[in-house]
Amino acid sequence: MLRAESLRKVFFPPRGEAVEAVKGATFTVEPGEVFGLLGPNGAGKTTLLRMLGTIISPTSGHCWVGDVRTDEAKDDIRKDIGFLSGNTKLYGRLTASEVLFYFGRLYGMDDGRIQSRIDELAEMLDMTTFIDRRCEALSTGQTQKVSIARVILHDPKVLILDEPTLGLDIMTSRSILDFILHAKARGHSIIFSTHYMTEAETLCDRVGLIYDGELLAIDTKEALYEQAGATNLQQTFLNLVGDEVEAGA
Amino acid sequence: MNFRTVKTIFKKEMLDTVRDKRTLVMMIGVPVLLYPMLLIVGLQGALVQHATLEETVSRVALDTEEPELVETWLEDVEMVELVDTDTPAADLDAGNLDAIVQIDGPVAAPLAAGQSVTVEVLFDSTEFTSMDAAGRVRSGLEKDGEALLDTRLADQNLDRAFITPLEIAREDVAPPAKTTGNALGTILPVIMVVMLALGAFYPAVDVTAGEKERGTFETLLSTPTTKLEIVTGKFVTVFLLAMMTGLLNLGSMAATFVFMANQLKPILGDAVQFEIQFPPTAIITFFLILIPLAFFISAIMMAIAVFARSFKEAQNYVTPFFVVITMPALFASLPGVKLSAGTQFIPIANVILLFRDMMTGKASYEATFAVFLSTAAFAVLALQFAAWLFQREEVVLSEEKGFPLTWRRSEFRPRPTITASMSLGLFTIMLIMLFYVGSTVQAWKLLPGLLITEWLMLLAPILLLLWYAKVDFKTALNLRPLSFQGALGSIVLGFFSILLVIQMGFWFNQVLPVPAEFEEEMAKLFSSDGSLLQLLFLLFVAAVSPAICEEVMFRGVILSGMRSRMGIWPCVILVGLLFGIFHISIFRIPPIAIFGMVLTYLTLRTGSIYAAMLVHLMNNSFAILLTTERMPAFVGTLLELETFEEKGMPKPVLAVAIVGFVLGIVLVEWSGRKSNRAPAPD
Repeated sequence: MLRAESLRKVFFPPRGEAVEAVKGATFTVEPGEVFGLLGPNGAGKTTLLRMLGTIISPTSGHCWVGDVRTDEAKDDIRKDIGFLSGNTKLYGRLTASEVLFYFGRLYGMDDGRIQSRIDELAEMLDMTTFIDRRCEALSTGQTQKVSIARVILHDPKVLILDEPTLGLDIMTSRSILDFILHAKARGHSIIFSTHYMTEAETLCDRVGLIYDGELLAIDTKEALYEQAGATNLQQTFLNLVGDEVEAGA
Repeated sequence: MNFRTVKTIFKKEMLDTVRDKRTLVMMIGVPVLLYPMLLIVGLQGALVQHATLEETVSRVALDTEEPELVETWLEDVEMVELVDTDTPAADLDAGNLDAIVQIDGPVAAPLAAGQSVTVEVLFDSTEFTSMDAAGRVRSGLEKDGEALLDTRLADQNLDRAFITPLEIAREDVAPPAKTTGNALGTILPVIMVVMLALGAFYPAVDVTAGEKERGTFETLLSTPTTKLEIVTGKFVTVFLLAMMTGLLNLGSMAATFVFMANQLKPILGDAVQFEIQFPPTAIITFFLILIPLAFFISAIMMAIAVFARSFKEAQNYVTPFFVVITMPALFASLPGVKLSAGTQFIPIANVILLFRDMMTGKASYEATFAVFLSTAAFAVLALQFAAWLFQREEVVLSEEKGFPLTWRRSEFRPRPTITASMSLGLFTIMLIMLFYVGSTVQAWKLLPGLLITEWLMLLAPILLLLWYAKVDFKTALNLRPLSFQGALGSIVLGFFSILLVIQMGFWFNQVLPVPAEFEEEMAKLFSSDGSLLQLLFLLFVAAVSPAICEEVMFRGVILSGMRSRMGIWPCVILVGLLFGIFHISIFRIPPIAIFGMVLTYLTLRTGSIYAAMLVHLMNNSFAILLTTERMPAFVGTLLELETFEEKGMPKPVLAVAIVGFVLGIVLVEWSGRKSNRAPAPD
């Protein structure tokens, strides 16, 4: 289970005004649930997910992984989290298998278990042909598969995926979406952000709409359609966020 | 800190670096191939040019009223050919002529009259051939001058001794090993500093800014590793590569140098004697001292490079640092700069000065220790700084332009104690402050200097820091009330440990005797005119002030910081050792460290800093009363102070002290069961 309570993040740039990137987010992602985070660029999605992944600490508010409050926990709490974003790249000069071994060891796994996990994941994500190739020589899709393998390697309770299908071809996107469904079936709590409405429609149990640092609505798809008077997520998004833009203007 | 994790990070960074061609070329390519090639190519060029010059005949013109006479002087000079020209000056300028021999006025007549004639040799210093010609002509003419002098002396029936009443000979009695030791001792460490910096440069930038640029830092931060583990793993990589590159560079230079010396020998002949002798101890110490030096340079390079977002930006930040580190190196090589109380604490310069002293056999243990200590202190500080930077998300994850660091208090979250790394950093800063500020004000005026050191230099900044970092004073300083049982146990344990520590000082004195000057310094501290007022002042300065200020520092912030990371016993040992080191002198460290351990134990068991303050106050007052001879007479008799220097304390007193010490521990443990012990924060 993943829980956020009144999470706020204020950035103080070296010059200029303080920026409130996330203005108090409260929600829960249950085990076996996929929570979609939708919002335009710069809405605060990545900042929110970074706080949940304990990459940065919130200015105020807390998050829980299971019953552990992350700011009170030691760094070990990250054993229960798998975090993926556009900024979590892989070491180009290492092979895919070396990268996975490295992270496995950092997660405190022993080499035997890492090897069997790699074999398992290579099979599942179809990576056997390039597992011993250096990451710098891999295609975008292959790289993303290795990243996905890295995130799930230590079998964390919580998966935080920031735009996992960005820039991928249909085939690779498909296999990553399958992977998310597989993880859902195994009882992981999954939160992911995306720009692709169809993805969110097929995958998410619940959706959060974020705009300008504020969570505008959190509910099941159906409830949101009703609230916005729409029939699909794209329309819902445009209606709800559009209202907000008008209100702001 | 999990060492398996550190090892994993270290191994990965090494593999990553070894696979990076850019780093490999800088590390191995440059020293092993480029230097020797450049030097050898340059040398061969010089040799070829030298040979060509040797074989070139110098064209010389005469500008005199009596060319026939002058010609006879020059005709037997080898490799000189006399040339006829009407425009000698223009020819010399154009390079058609190598030198002009010019004499104004008559020649033969003044010579015959016993007078002097001025011969001018004109040449062009921008042309090697002209320089050579001038040299040949000059040495030829000097021989003719000598011949003329001999003739004149013979005419007067005089001996050559007549015109040289004093024959002055100079001889350098320094053995060649000493002269080369002095020369090498100055040059070698300077080269080494630059080489170490060069070696640390690429890895330091690669593991910090490089990792940021490649977008893998956030991946690493998403793993359950602590920032200190990350910094340590990366730092060990940089440190080892710096050492390796440094030694490789040095080895390569030495090989090139030997090769060049052999090539030059036939040309220079016996004029220059190379005698390179390294005393084996100097080699060992050199390596030993390279370690903190490489440590310091690597840590500071990493700290600078982590600010940058890209490899290129990091190069911009680090390059000025090259200039900065060569400044103390240059300062140390100035004539007259010696290793002294002041210079031994200047980073980099002190290492160079110490090494020179070692090569010439002048280094003292005290100075060696001070150099090691201060270099290590600076190194730890630089590493702490790097680790601290890694904890700042705006530094590690910054994507904005500009220097990514803010110090706004409003951004800090309240915290119960400072962290273990902060307390180590605080200790190091205070140690450096003590080196510079503390010793200066105490040299100015001892007692006021001590007051300034304790209250203004130690206490005030610590309290300010705690306030600024929003640290809870009560928790961080262990300001819990002291129970009655706790106070009783502390007094008993404190009293008997003071006796035991005195005895330990005696034993340690047998191993490493305290120099007499040192004891005089200590005695001077407690000199008194006997008035009660002055004694009270002395007690305030040397007993009350340290008991408050030093305890706030050690049993307060440092202890609570350490306790957040480690168990009770490691804390007792570490804080005790730091307390010992803080008293700087090698002679006082062991007994003071043990006393510090007792104080730390007391604070942890009673949960209150007041226990340590009480015992610290007891100890210092005891020492003051003893040295000012204010102690009741029976104390002196009981402890047999008259014979302390030879025999230590009497055996029965020692036995009682040991029993009392154990009793004290029992009392403290008993009180600890009842009252609140200092809980481990988190």
